[in-house]
Amino acid sequence: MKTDWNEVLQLLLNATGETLYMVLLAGLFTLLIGLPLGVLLFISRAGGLSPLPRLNRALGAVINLGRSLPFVVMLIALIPLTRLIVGTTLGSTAAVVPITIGAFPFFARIVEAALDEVDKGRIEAIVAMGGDIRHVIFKVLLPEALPALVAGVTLTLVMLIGFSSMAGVIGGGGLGDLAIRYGYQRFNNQIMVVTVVVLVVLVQGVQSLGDRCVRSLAHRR
Amino acid sequence: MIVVEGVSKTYADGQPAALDNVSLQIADGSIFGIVGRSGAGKSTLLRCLNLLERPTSGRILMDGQDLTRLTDKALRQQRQRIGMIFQGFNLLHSRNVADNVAVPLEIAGLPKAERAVRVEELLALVGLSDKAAAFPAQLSGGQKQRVGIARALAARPAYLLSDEATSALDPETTASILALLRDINRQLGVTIVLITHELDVVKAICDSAVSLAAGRVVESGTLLQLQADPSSRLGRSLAPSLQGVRAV
Repeated sequence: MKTDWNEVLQLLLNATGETLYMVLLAGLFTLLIGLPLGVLLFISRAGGLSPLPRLNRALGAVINLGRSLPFVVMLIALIPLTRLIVGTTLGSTAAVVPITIGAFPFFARIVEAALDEVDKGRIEAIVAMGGDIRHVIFKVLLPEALPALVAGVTLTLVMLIGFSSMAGVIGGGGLGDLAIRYGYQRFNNQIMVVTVVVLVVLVQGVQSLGDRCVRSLAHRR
Repeated sequence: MIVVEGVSKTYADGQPAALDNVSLQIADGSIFGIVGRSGAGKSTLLRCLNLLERPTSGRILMDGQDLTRLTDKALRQQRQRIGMIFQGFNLLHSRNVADNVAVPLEIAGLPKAERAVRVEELLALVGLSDKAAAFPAQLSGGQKQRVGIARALAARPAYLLSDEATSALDPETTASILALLRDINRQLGVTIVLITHELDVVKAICDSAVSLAAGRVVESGTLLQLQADPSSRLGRSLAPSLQGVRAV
């Protein structure tokens, strides 16, 4: 089989664009939902800063439910919700809904774990000087946990790249879709290889950028 | 003046009380030491004074106001009048020295320009003007504790609580931190309550002391009273080599 490299390049550019679109948009929503949720999980613990054990248990149960479903199943199970939110169930934008819902519970747990690593004495110092819960969150928890939070964002972005590659199931496009439709179903090994290379480069790039951010944040601490 | 009235603290039913009916008075302008072995209840008692621990029963009166009855908001305001320093320093590693010292001023809602002026004063007071831009990880233990002291004094508190503030430091640094605390007490009139397991610390700077064992007050009094009382074990252990340490 002869490969038209111009066409391959065009396919690849489109697919990469779709993947980046899904990852960045879903990443933004994951951050916006997961960060406050993670903070809430941490402060509402029994014995925490603002203990609300019942709310904490309820949130924990919902999050564990979200994390226990295989993503491919969630992608399909959430179709009615996607229609409600986006108005359509096909395409990259529609895929952002299940990707976000698959990722934010994971990210919320990462945030919770990062905040748990903050030295309790530093929290106590702010409480002792008359700080309220907002002071504790914005002056201690988030700034002190920032390197761990950035590492968590990196981890989540890599996971989102993985999730987005399954978006082809609902016509979301992207690199994973390209690999399956051209590489696997049409036995086009060149496309398969090129797509894998782009995915690997993408993941490596995100990871090393994230690592560099963490290092530059942590170097004086 | 701080008056502790019949304060008890039990962490869980069936466990022995961490504090058992403790009563004492801390005079304004004094340096008051709380001594005892580990587990005697020193730390619990100190942390009851700013309600980091809430007593199971009893009252904490600060200038006549019962802290245990304050609303959350009133308690936070009262806490701005009580500085605290810690064995582990508890500085924020995401902020430089000047910004660490500014935290209580931010909480008090002071405008930025006034914060900067006050931070400069405080760093001069603790002898760290040249370290304003340094981060805590770049400082020695003694320097970190000086930042902790500057931070604790930022909002011009009437009281300063010291939780084993010198226990992580070497003897020379300990001496210089104690000298700083004494200067602060004399120059600013800040009442200092400190807990320590080192009697040398009490000898060096305290006016009065109380010793605790198993959550109860064993002895209390001014240093002179304790030293003059031949039956006082605390007095005896505080008696010798007084001059040498005081001269620090």
